[in-house]
Amino acid sequence: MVATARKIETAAPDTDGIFRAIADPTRRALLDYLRTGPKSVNRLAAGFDQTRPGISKHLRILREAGMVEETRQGRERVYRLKPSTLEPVDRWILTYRGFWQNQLDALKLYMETGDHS
Amino acid sequence: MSKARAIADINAGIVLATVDIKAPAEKIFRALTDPADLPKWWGQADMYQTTAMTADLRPGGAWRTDGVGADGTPFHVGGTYTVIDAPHRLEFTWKPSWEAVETEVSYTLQAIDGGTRVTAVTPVSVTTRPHAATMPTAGNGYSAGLRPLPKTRPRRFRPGSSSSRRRVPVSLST
Repeated sequence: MVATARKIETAAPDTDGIFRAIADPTRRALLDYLRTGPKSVNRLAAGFDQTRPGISKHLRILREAGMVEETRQGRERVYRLKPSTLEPVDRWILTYRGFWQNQLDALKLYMETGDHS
Repeated sequence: MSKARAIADINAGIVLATVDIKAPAEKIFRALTDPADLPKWWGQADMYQTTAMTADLRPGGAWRTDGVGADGTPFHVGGTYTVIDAPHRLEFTWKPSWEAVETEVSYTLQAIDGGTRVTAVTPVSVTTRPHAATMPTAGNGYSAGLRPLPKTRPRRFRPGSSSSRRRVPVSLST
């Protein structure tokens, strides 16, 4: 067993791969879970109904998309998020920003132009 | 009073939008909750429009809006009121027909000089992103609520990432 964490996988971020990776609800939930910090595979799998091999497969897809990285700590495999690769996803969040900004503009226009009782 | 401003706090996972309106909080609260009022403003000219609303305005009460996109595609958004403190605070769950996951929205109405400051907050995370392959491009409240970009505008996504199927045109706020 190695005493120190050893990085065993790095993959270049790939936008298409990232969006493909988050097309699955389990993988999205895994990513959200990892937003709170690195977790071992066992701990990740405990939060899901799926089998451990099923979770491992999802983690592999996320790893190949470059969204998470795996390290070995003793006998455990630990996954952590690589936040920079979530940038295209976070960009999508900006669509929400535009949406709510537009809605409040519409509310303001409605309230201030007197077309209401 | 100036137009609405909005920020996306990616670390906190929220979008916050705020606007100052020359109107009393009571009237604005009514515009947010009254089925006779909300369809008159919730929408975006030529893009989509809310056509009907039902609201059981009490904690635990259900609400629903129905609307139609510019291409005729119907959509609806529904949820449950969780906090009602008229005319200062309104919170409800939010589940659009085009999303798989329910989220929450809160409005805060605060008296300011000459009117009311309205703040809307909603959490966003990767789990609220719809399936990439099925993300609608029309009749969708989000894409429809956004101004299309001029055709000459360069893509925001990196060149070489081929597909445009999943991309919603985005006008970034400033």
